[in-house]
Amino acid sequence: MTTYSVLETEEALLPSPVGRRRRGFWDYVPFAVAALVAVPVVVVLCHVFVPAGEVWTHLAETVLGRYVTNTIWLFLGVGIGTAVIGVGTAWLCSMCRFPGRPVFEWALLLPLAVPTYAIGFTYAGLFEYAGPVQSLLRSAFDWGRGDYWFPEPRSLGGAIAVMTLVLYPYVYLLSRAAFLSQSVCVLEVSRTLGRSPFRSFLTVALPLARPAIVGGVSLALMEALSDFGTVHYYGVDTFTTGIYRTWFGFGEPAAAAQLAAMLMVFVLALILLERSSRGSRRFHHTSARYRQLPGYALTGVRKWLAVSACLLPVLLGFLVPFGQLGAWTIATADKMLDASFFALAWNSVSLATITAVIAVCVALLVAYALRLRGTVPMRAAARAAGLGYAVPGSVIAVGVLLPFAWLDNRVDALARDWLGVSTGLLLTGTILALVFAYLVRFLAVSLNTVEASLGRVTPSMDGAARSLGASPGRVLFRVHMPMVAGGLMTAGLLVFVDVMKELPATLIMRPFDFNTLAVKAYELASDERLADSASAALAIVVVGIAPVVLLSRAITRSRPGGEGP
Amino acid sequence: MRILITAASAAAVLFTTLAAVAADPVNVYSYRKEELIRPILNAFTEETGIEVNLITGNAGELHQRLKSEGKNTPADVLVTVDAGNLSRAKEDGLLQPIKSEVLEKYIPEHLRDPEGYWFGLSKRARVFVYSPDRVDPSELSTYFDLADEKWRNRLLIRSSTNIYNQSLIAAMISEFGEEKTQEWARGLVANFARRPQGGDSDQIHAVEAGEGDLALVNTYYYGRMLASDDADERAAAQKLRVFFPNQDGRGTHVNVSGAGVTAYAPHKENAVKLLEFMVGEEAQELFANSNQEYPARQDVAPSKEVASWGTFKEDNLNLSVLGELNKEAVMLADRVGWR
Amino acid sequence: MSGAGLVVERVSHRFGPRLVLDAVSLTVAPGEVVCLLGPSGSGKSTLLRIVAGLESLQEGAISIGGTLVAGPDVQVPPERRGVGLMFQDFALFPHLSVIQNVMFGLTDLAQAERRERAKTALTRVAMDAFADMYPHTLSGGEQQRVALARALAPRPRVMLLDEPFSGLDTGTRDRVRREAIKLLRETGTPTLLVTHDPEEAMRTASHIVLMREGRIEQDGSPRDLYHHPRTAFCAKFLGETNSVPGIVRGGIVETSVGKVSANGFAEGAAVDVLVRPEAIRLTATDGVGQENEGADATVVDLRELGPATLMELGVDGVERPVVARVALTEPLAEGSRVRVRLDRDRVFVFPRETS
Repeated sequence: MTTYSVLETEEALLPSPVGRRRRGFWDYVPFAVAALVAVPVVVVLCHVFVPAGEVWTHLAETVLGRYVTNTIWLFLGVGIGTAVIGVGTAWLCSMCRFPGRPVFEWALLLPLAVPTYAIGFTYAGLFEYAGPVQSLLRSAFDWGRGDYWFPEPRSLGGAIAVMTLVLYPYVYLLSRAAFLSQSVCVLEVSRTLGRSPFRSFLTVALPLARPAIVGGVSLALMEALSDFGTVHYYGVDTFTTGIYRTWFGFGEPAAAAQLAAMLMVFVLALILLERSSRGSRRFHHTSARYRQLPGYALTGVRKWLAVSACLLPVLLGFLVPFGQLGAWTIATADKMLDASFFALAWNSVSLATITAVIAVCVALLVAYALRLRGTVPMRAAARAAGLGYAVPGSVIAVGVLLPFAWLDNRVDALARDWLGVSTGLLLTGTILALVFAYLVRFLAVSLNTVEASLGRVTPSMDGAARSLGASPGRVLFRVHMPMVAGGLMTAGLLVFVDVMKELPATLIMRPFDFNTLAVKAYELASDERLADSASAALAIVVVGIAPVVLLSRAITRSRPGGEGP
Repeated sequence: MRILITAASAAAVLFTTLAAVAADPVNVYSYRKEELIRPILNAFTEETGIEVNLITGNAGELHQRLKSEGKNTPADVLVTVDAGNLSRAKEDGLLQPIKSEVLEKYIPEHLRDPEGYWFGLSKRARVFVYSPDRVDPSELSTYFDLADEKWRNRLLIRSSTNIYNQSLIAAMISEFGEEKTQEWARGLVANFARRPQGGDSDQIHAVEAGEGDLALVNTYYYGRMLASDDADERAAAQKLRVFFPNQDGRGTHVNVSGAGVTAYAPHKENAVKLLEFMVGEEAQELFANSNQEYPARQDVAPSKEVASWGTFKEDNLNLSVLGELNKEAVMLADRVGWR
Repeated sequence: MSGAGLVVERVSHRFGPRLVLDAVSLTVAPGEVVCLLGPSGSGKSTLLRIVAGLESLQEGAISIGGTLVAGPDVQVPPERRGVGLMFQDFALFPHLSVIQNVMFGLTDLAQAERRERAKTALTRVAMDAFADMYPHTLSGGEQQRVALARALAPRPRVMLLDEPFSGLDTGTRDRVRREAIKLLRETGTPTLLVTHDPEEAMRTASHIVLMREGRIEQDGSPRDLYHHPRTAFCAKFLGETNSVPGIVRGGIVETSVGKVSANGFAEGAAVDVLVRPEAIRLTATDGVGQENEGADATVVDLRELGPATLMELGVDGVERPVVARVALTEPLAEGSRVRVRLDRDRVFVFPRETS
């Protein structure tokens, strides 16, 4: 899966224009939609041109170095961590047989449903000096402070570990889909050419899954880079905490946006670098034949190694925090669980559902337009629209707020001038604006997924359908949509889970008296009432589990030629 | 195009919560968490029949929302949990001055804006919470003293990204000037028992566990532990003591949770009513008991846990100064490496 | 059998309850191309995969180059068997260039030497000019040649081909196949080729093993199988046949098309006479009756195939039209009446199949 997979096939798709083609829906609408979603990103980027000299001198002299170092370590740590865990478990679950594998197949996705800060609080609470683990050690061995070494949970390393545990499922998800869709023939050839299963994995399966792995790791990294809650609580200064401090502590939006722009440029540069390093290699399947995946039956030590490799991420990324949240929920149930709680759940689920549907539709529209007409402005708009994912949530929320409020105030001024009535704020503070903000944040997730699935539909399908007289729209509905239904579902479910957990945009964009589970959990947690916040956080997890399990089943079924072993 | 605009407007109107459009409510933007403000707002509705609509959020973002909504903002009242953000709102022209005898009568002068742009409603002091086993109360004196070498590796305090610490630094700057405050902050940072992390409650827990000897925290966090439903929490809190610093000098640094009426409030009259209600006895007691804060009014008693610490002399520095010095305070923290 | 080559001894294999190979044995000597022929589901691909080590052996034994690679308690993994494998779709690695694909199997050598060996292999298949290109830029035939070079470069002890030519269009297929087989013969590599196409088998193999439902139906030279099928299945699978029912009467089978010797079938037995199209001869209709040989027929359909003419004949008393391939000396038109007679050497008698 890759952001760019479609670009590889577009030459084949573009008919050489004979005469003048009439421009229509597919030339304008998708571009307009993508451009609209890109507006907040552009708004943030525009701050780059506002001078903020004095603050920069201060930042450069004092904290910028630390921001950069910490961010790079976080980037490397989470990147390597999610890649190793995600790819490793995906390989084991796709290619090997060992006890519990059918359960791990979906259980490995579960941490996706857990909000990062919930895991962050849980582990800080468990492993801090005052926490149960260290207290137990001290009382058991009669140690005092400084008598022993224990890793500091609230630290850069801790933040990396926590984020890796929550974010590896992105890599697992996408690389598993890639392994499942690989032809086994190339692996078998590799075996007969003298490479062991492991070396074949390294030299053939892994490079072939590269676009998918890169896609998954970049989703994980974008999310890690934009995280504020965890790094702030863990006392790790990153670019993102710096952006907050500069914006809301100094009151310097321009300098903060410039920091955010640096972050975006960094992400974009990496994506382009990876892209150019691929050269003219190809990663399509060269084979149309699908045999049952080998299903190496593991025995002895290897079997148990595989079981622990899969169990550990599930245990640490899901079971432990889930247990902690559950215990807190039980302890606070009579206080926290009342009728209003279900209203919160309803708000969260309906917002997540609406956004998921819209995000998939927009992604389909944009991805299909890229396939039909990959013009430079179209591509630029699509890429910019996807960048919202890499920007800290609050910053992008403000980026959404500014144009909406501006538009509202303009409309209001016009109405006053011409009609003598005030229209007030038409969009700001409505569900509409909130859903749009979600779209800006999460379009990258759905777009990546949908583009990748469309990329797997061979261009000759388009040709065949078009030559049978179907319009592009009809081809999309009758041919592509049924073929990529699994991909669309994956995209929708990912967005659903992300919206369930979303916080900064919800906080700032929501209408009066409108709360969600995430808002509730956050308010209580940030007020340092962790136990009280657990029921809301647990509800987010519970609601997220069903989509996550569905997701796994969709992927298993997606293998061409039927189920895996 | 016109049809599109009409349709969009119609949809938007539909989406706008009806309550906000209905006649004469009062709309509140609050940095104070819903759990801690809603009971007071409900009491107001009960007494006056005026509906209150609420949005809570983080200071920076909600400030930005209020600012960008401009003249058309639906917000009438802005509630914050510190004076710094109130005076920033004033500077940005988001508030309007209010003349109210009730407010002026009950709220002490140093807890409100001299020009009436905002009013403090409840107080919290930034105090020392220490372990009596490891700290002799005679060692304790002032904030400034915490920079002394004898505290090396013993202090616990959260990050300077937090507004309470920024306000404390601002108060120090107003007392000692920037240069001396920077020297103090440098000494303070050198005495940290660990890298700043977690919230105020985490600092108190760390003192209890022995990771440090003294935590610099807001009173209500400790008050809440003392009043906790959880017996372990109460037991842990009871092992510790509170100390009010600067009693021989300017007094202990206090901050307020306060409110102001927005510059373009559509329901100004109701907004003033709400503010006046909030200094009423009933509301002040709610502030005191729901969150272990000190009522702004002198004649309303704090909760029994808070009262158990005795009375103290508070710094009468006008809190509007905190907002003016906030940026300087953050930059100072950056310079001395207080994360 | 010892020494070089591939020996498969009594290999049986089950997928669940289904027996897909039933005690299959075969031998491929160096320089020999053996064709495993059969319809899909006959177990031929499974046998190939067992030989390659991609499927674990359940029963029997396999040795390559005189070493046991699979048998009771022995299971050498594919990477240490020294087999070359080629798939129908070539399975080139799309992320590696042509030369890197060929170098892939040359693991134990120094980089320079690997490149040299790969170059040589590519030169052999006349693909050296394409060394730095990526597979997706090559035509089907070119990809096939690269796949062959890749499989041969590590000098495998046995070469396994799984329908390697069926992905190519007819034009290139013949040429590529000829070149590939020639190369394999030259290198002396024992080769086992799986195909479902009897024509391909006859064109390439020195020896054909015909499989049916997990068993060897018959094996021998292409000529043997074509001309002396031991079963109706074999006769039908190796070429087109007309099936004509008959009854044995006095050592002779009388059919509507003519008489055939009963080949030892009992008196009164019901048999099927299978007749290859080229076994049907035409004689003049008006000529002096040659005893009672032959039958009258009408030309129903007629197609010129260059050297021969393929025609469908409606034979009096036979339900379905009979297909004949004959070299006509003078033109005939549809609807003409002809007299047909059988060439007894190319006619096979088998017991009547109960359908």
